[in-house]
Amino acid sequence: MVIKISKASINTNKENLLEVKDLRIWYPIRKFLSIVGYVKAVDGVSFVVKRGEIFGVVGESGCGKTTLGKGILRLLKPTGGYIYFEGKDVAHIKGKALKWYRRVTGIVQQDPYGAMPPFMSIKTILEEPLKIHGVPKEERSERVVKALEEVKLTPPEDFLNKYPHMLSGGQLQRVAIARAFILRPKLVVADEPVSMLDASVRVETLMLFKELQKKHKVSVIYITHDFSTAKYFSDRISVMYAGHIVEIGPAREVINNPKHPYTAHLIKVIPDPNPENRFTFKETLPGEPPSLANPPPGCRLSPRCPYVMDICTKKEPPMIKTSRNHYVKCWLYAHR
Amino acid sequence: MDKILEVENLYLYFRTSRGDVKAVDGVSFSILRGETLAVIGESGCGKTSLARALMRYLPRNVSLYRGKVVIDGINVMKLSDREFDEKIRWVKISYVSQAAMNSLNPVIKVVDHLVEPLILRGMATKEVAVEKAREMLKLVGISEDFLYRYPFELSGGMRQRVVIALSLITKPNIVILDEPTSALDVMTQANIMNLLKKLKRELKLTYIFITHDIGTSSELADKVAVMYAGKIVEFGPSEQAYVDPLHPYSKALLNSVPRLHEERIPTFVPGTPPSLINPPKGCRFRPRCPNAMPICEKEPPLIKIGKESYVQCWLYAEK
Repeated sequence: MVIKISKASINTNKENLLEVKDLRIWYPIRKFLSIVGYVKAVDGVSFVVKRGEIFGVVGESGCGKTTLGKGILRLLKPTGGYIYFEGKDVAHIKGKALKWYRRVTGIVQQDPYGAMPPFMSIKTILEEPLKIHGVPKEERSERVVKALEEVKLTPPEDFLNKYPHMLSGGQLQRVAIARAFILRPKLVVADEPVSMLDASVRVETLMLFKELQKKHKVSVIYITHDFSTAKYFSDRISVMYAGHIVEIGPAREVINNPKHPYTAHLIKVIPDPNPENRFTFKETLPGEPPSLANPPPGCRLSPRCPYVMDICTKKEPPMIKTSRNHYVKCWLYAHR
Repeated sequence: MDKILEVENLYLYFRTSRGDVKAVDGVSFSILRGETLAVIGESGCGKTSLARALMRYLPRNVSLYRGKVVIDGINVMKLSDREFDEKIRWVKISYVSQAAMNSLNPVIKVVDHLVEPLILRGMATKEVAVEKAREMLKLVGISEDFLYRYPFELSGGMRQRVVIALSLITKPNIVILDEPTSALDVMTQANIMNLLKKLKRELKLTYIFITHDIGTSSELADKVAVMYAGKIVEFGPSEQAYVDPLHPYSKALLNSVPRLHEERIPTFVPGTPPSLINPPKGCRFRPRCPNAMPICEKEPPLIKIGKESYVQCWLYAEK
């Protein structure tokens, strides 16, 4: 069942680039010819992304964060809900309108080697989006060179005729970033852009990313499993668990003062380099995340939560405001 | 405490069409019984090759394999492959490889994986081996119901536990853990680290923990070896390595870690690690080093600092 929201109820705040309301993306489970169920990868997610903001989406694998990113970019068709981009609903567009949406959005994926055709040179790879969106020929090579300079692959001539396998992972990820920014998009979704890179290159790549984002005033959705990079890279952080966003707030506040039991445990188990770590055991949550085909009723963390109450197993908790800009989906904070 | 492992001038080169890859290039260190050594460094610095050299898991294109390795009093470099297999590998030293959870054979049951090393080496009869497998599984926190299941019926974290059980079933003294948690989720990773800590205490194990994740390495390490371009550039107790490292590379590496619980903007090491085929002359970190001096073009000596620390850097040489 999909809850319909009347379009009039959406306030199109000029500050917000993207407004996601009650987004659902379900994958059908097929047996022979009939559909026997759904994997509810994203199940009723709402948030806004402001102009020029980096919005972090943090969660463990299988929580639906990649599906969410793909849904927002309309690489997947939402099962229900709305995605308002500059006030226009893009959840159900197709054809020309979708092509326009492709132009104003960009993507950076996890594995740069998988994201680039190995038989195309860097020049061809960067030129392709320009070609598709009708940038005149004279302009193209100039823009390609400029894009490479922006991501500090200099001199650009050294890279233009190279092929993906000739570059290191860090260099190739920078080409991917250049490609995502080359059409001057308003929104870029970065799905684990640095998790395959070495620690020292990670910071360098993220700093470069942030520099470009600031320069072009682009909004970025940063999808990651890594709280520590999200802390330094994002303005706000949302935490996903089993298809739901369980907490949203300013990055530092979510990390220093987590409200949801899931967020709190996740942050506690991540070690900073410290010789004291070896003398203590970490307090973990029992069990594993639920199957998204058959999630538990009520709060999805309830089978693992140390603070579980009666209501948690019966009713899904609402998003509760705990302080300015800080929201949490947990019954512990109700009626206060 | 006595030394359980002593390595002196260990070399492992691989032959390629472009020249020899000097993956392990004159490495020396020793570990005391019951101690954990973390080997940290960026990818391609030779961490895994070091593990392979210790386990003698060598590919065909080895061009140089030389040095002195003493495991529990036995100079293993003098043993033939057959003797090594009988007396050392999986008897004294075992190995949990990278992405180990995917190394279980999907058509072989958990129990058959576990008993194989025992039966193969004639260390136990089938019945005794199955009993030991049951105990081992319990020790790593898996219900014995899973003994007769296939690997695909287990989650990633459980498979990792099975592989750890497998590495311990022959009661080795040393276990090499090569990125044991890098493919796992944060919460599962914490559970596995808890398990490794518990096993270390209960079984008095010696670990060699290879990882690029410096935060996680501090969960186990008593000593730390920082590798760069085939060499150990710093070796010392973790109180030094995680707090006030000596080598400029170790400092840069530690500063590149984004801290979650404290406020410290991470920085990065400019440049890229050198090719191991044609490394720079002298100190290999020189082209990226903020403290580079003219003398760095000469190979720096291993300098002892304090009681237990070693660093390979001219900054610490007596003028």
